Amino acid sequence: MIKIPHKKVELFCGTGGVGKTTVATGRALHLASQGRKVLLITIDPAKRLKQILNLPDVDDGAVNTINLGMFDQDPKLSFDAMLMSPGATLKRIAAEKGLEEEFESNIIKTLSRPYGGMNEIMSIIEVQHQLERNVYDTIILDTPPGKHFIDFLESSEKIKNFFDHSFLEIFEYLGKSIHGKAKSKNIFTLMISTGVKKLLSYLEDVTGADFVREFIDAVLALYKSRESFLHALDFQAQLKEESFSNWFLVTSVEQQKINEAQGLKDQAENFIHNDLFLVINKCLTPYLDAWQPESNSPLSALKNTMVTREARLSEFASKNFRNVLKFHEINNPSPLEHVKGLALQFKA
Amino acid sequence: MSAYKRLYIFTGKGGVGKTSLAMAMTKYLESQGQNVKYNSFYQQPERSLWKELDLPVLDIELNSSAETYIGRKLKSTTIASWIMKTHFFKSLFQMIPGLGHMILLGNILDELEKDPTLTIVLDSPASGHALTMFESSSNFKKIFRAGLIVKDIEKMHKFLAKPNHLKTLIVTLANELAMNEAQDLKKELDANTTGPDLKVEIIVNDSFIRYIKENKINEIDLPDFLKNRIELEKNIIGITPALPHIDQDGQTAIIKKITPYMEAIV
Repeated sequence: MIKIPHKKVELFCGTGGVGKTTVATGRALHLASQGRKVLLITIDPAKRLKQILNLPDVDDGAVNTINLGMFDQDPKLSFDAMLMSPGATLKRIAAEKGLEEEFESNIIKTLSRPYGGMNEIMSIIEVQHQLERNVYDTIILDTPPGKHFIDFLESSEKIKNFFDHSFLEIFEYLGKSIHGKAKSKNIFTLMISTGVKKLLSYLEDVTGADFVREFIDAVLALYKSRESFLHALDFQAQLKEESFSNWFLVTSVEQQKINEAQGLKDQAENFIHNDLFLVINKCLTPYLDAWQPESNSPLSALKNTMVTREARLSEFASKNFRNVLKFHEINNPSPLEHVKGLALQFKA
Repeated sequence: MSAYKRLYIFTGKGGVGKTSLAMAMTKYLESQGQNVKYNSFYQQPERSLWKELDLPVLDIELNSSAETYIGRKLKSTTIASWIMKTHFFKSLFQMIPGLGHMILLGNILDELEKDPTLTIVLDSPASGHALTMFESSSNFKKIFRAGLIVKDIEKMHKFLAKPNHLKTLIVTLANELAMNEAQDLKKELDANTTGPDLKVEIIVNDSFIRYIKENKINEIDLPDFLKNRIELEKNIIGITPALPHIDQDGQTAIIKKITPYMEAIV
């Protein structure tokens, strides 16, 4: 029997289509039904949570309270759910720094849209913000479906590169300062200027001069708020600590997910700790066991491939992961029933 | 004129079998004597699977693709490689993923223009990404306004808008959530009027209704969990074209078996 300890943060990772959001919601329901204060944050651009919980279709990053009465449970209990809006989080950062005007740029707006390139870091910043409010026992983060969940972990590297010295040269060259007042050019900036000038002129050929100007202003605005980003990086490192977080890697027996499970395993070795759980979702085992088709019929061929696929994935999982949670397929079309069924399986 | 399109784009949410179908389509077109190449676009290349299937592939890696592209535009590979090494450009690429998509698409269209007999099957990542890809072309026009990239986007749109040049297939599964998502995606792609008409069609993968029909299985003989699935499919599929569930183990075997079915969706 596998015990899942209580932690401040729980992260659900996995590629798209494995039921990650539904499993994370089931987990939130399970913890809430035990009386814990839970916030579920999802950044799934497919807005699956919105469909499951019937949330309003607005992109404002607001917290919605979900009454457990919706799941035919104690209506005095609830959990909070948030559809992460990178734009809303960015707005909050801008307001904190008094940079609202600078953030009103086309480029920043594009970057902070779903799949805009800043989703991962924004979700880290949001979890951190919610933790600091100190309202919740557990915050569950349903991570964005990247090529691999590792994209999520590596997002910080992108940000780090972004905030290194490279842009400073350009700012200096253009006489822009990240500290408010413009600085005059000194002899050193004139020395690097030739390279920068060339770079900018090529860039203008490719993307147009207006873009170069706007992009530099956008980067400058982000630079001015870089403390928020760098602060989030420290927090991201903390997320990997065992005392702080449970990690759930979600995969499913649908389709051919075994290659993916292998990928998950290789990647997970970078940060694996004891409370890493592999969730195999949509298992058919109980249904397949109960099914006895006539041997040598087309039906037995159908059953056999289903059994083989599932057995292969199971064997692989137990060989490579210490904690494997097998969740059986919920035989019901309603998404709410899926969440209920998954919550029950977390309880067991 | 050939009955086939120049570019097939497979898209849809994760786990619906896009990659298998895109590969099957490539194998099907090849079996018809067509000059065809598969491209995995922005995703991790699955080289061992390509080899097992003996798949004709157009293998472009993003960074080198950007370098080639910019080199072509600036008429100097030296300058392009220098630009791509600067942090400024690297960051630009990492922070604006749509830009990478655009350049990859630009490269793919260049290949199609170079060789008028070629067809490319593009295996595009999960739904949001595909949307970004098409949205980004109009977005970039707005953001960039001038310069070589905008000129290229216009050229791309013109190429894709030619009759019989393009088909976009949204792959989905026969359940409510997946189908809703596919329909939302189709709506959004159709509504993108600033770009070319993407000729979007939805196709259901892994259908048990089709499976039992083809294997002459009587629905009554199925266990309850599969009967439920069939009921669900009946309510959802409607007139949408569907591909059968494949009772094979392993992706190579599945792709081989699904290949002949692609005739119906070319």
